[in-house]
Amino acid sequence: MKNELLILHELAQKLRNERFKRGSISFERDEVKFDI
Amino acid sequence: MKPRWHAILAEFGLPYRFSKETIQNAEAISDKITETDVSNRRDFRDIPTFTIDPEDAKDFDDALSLQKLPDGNWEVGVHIADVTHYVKPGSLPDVEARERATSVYLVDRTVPMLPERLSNNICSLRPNEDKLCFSAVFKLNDKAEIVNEWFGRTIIKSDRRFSYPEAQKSLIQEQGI
Repeated sequence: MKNELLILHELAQKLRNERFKRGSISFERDEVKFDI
Repeated sequence: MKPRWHAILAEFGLPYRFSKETIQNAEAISDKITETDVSNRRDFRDIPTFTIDPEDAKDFDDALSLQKLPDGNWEVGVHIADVTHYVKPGSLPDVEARERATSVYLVDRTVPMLPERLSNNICSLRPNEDKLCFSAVFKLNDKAEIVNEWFGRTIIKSDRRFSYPEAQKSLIQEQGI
């Protein structure tokens, strides 16, 4: 399954680059979670 | 149940349990998949499929599939559990879900939108189980340009459940970073 994961990741990066090139705004922020 | 958890639920007006009737109703829903169910759906069970969710997740509500097509393009499937197959309009779980609108994820607990039999069992896309889904299927070329798209009902079988850290680790290893 790792190969599929990697290919999907590469496709996702290409799609995301294109999206931001066209003016999309990222509202996402890193979320922090602690293991205590 | 911890008092502090109760306090958080009360503060935000969150429900903390389902009525007995709603749970009974959900328990009575059959998880059997019939020949007819299968014949009306596009079959993705033999295509590599996986889910990625937080480590502590119990509801795996969406899955991804990928296969290389004979024409050299990629077929990417985005699959979400077909809850409508199990929850009928106007039924108790439906009415309650409308009221709740969403599952609420607290740090160590979840207040699910649907009773656990649905959210964590029947409609959770657990590995090696046949699952009815609604899917968006895209045909992409190597530049990730969409060549074709299809939306509809499917049956899938996840091969693997990744947690986010596992998926991240796999990517880093495979990329040799």
